[in-house]
Amino acid sequence: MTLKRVARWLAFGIAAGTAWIGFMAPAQAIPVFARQTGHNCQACHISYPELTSYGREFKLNGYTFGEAQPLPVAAAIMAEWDHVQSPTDASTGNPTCSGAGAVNSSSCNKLQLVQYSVFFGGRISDNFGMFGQLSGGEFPVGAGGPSSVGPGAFTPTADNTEFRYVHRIMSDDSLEPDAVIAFNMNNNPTMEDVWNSVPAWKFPWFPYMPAGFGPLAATYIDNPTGGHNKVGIGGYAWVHKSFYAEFELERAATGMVSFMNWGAGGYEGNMGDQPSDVLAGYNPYYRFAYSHDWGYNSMEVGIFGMHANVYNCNPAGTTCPVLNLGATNQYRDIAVDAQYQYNRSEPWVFSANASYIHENNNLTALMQSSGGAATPDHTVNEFQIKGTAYYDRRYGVTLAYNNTSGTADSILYGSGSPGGSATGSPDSSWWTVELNYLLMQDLRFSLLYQNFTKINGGGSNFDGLGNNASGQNRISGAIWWVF
Amino acid sequence: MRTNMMRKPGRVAALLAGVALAVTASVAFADDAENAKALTAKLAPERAHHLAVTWCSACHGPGGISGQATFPILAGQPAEYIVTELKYFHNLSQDERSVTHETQFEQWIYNITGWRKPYSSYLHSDDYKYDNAPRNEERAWDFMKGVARDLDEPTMQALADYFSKQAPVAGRLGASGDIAHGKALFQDGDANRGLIACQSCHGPEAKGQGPIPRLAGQHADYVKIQLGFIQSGVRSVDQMQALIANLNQKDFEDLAAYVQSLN
Repeated sequence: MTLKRVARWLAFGIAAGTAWIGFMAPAQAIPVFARQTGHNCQACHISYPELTSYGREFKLNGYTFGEAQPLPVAAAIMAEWDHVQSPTDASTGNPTCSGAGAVNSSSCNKLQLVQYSVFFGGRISDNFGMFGQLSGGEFPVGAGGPSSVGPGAFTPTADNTEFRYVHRIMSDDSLEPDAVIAFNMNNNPTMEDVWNSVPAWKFPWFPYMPAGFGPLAATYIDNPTGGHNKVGIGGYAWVHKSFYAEFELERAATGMVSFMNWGAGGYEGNMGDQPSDVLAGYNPYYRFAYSHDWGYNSMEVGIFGMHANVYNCNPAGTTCPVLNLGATNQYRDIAVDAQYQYNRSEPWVFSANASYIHENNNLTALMQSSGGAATPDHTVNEFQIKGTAYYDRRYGVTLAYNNTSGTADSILYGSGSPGGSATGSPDSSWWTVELNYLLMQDLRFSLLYQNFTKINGGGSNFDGLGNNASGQNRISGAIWWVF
Repeated sequence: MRTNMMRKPGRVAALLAGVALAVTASVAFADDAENAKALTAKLAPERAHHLAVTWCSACHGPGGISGQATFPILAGQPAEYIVTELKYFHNLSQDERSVTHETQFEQWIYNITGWRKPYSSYLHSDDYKYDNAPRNEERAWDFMKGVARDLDEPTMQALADYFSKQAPVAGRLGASGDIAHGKALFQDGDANRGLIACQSCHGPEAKGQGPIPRLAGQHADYVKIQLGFIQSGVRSVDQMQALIANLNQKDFEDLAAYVQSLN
């Protein structure tokens, strides 16, 4: 009895002490990896999560460099303040501010904890590593406590998570691996990629919440609906540090792989409370890239794409059993991307990325089940180009331009409702500038300004209800702390 | 019925057996410790080779010939120099407890769990203002403190042996700077400015020896930046700091261009 009590107190003390240390100690970006390798953030990141050449090598080698830590855990907190001019509700003439923590006034302001994350994993053996993340969030500050508004909820659920088993091909005379081949499994298409032009890791890196009305069209691979309810299983080869080839099959996070969508509805048998957007069968994802480093420079060009068949479970709100052999919506996405980095860091660092994603989709199922689209076939094109400069690893500026275009569809793109498209066109374009200041290497302040020149087909009065694209221009402040 | 007297021999025997067991065990463990040490030394070359090919090569390039001047070329460096530097980085990682003002409680946690406050807390401490952090030294610490943290001495030695035996890089022209002037400084020094000939330590062909690094073929930009940091005391090399006190950035550039051009 006494021994038990001692053990209990000891366990409590260790837990409390560890938590305290964890809280007190300032640390590093994805500090699990920093603790494991002993590196500073800038070894792997231009500014998190943008990877340097060495950061890419670390990831492609399955996070196995360094020594496994006894407590491989870290955390992140992200908070955001938004200001957007009034998106007007035509019926009342009042601003309609959306999202958690929104405050209606002459303009929309809100302050919220966007997300918190717990990271775990890293090196498991010489050949095996993982990156685990649980996230929760959308905690509006001063607006009545935890909220489940929007895509997230305060209760943590599985976020980007992956496992890698790597094998290095080399002979006794090899001076470096001739190739790294790997088996990997993840719960978000493109999260396993190492270049920052793919959807999972492209700018903006802070998960800014919607503030006003925004573009309604996005390609599937850029916005894989259903969160992490999908699991990609496949492998890649990284040959001579130049050629990268990857193939994966994406499927629903059910049965044996349901843990990859932990807390968000993935469990044995069916998707439970997932209302829709469950992948049907096995869906191919592919990626080829060529990379070249010279001097302080590094460049990459590549393509990636996915064929996705997604169960249509509308009307929204009904459950979507995987065994339901219902109709699917089909998405065929293909993209080209490129990246350039200059990483001398004495004192400047530059990076540039661009991507163009083209999608052909067939939404016959959506059209027939709920009349959610006017025509079955659509194209959607998304283009982004961005440039980043960092001075002294402390002051950063990023400028980006986005353009979305595609087939008009009066129903799909919300004609007649506030924020929708009066013409049915999804065409949108906007500029973004973000200023960054790193107080410490693990604490970043950002100020973002987004200027919309066109939203859902128009500049002024794009929804036919009096809303202008420029009225959605936003200023957001963000704090991102990892420890 | 047994008596106490009858039981005593049993107790004594048990005690003796226990002591014997403990002694045997401790001798055995001592042997194991010795064996482990010997084994570590024996396996060091293999471990070092694995590390060099899989990890070091990620920055320092195949065989220690890096493509980026952030990372010095290691191929053909004197082994003693490499070991000296590795120990320097290793000691930095071990010293961090004192410089981060780790409390006794934190040390206790470390002793139990092996988990230690990350190095960045040192950067944030009063001893080391991030603002004033010398960037290039940071650059080395970004990577190398962590790499050297978990290396034991035999492995360091084996790594040094590995890189010292790699074929050195060929000289390369193309760096900005006046090679002729760099050559004059390197070979003859500059008596007026207190510079003795670099070759008197680094060797006439800049191949280095013992703890003195090889410069031939080294990235010019790396050499230039290091000279600046040695001059300002950021990188502490006592023997050199006074000698190059009166040189300027132009001299550094010329010297760097010259040594990079050497085979």
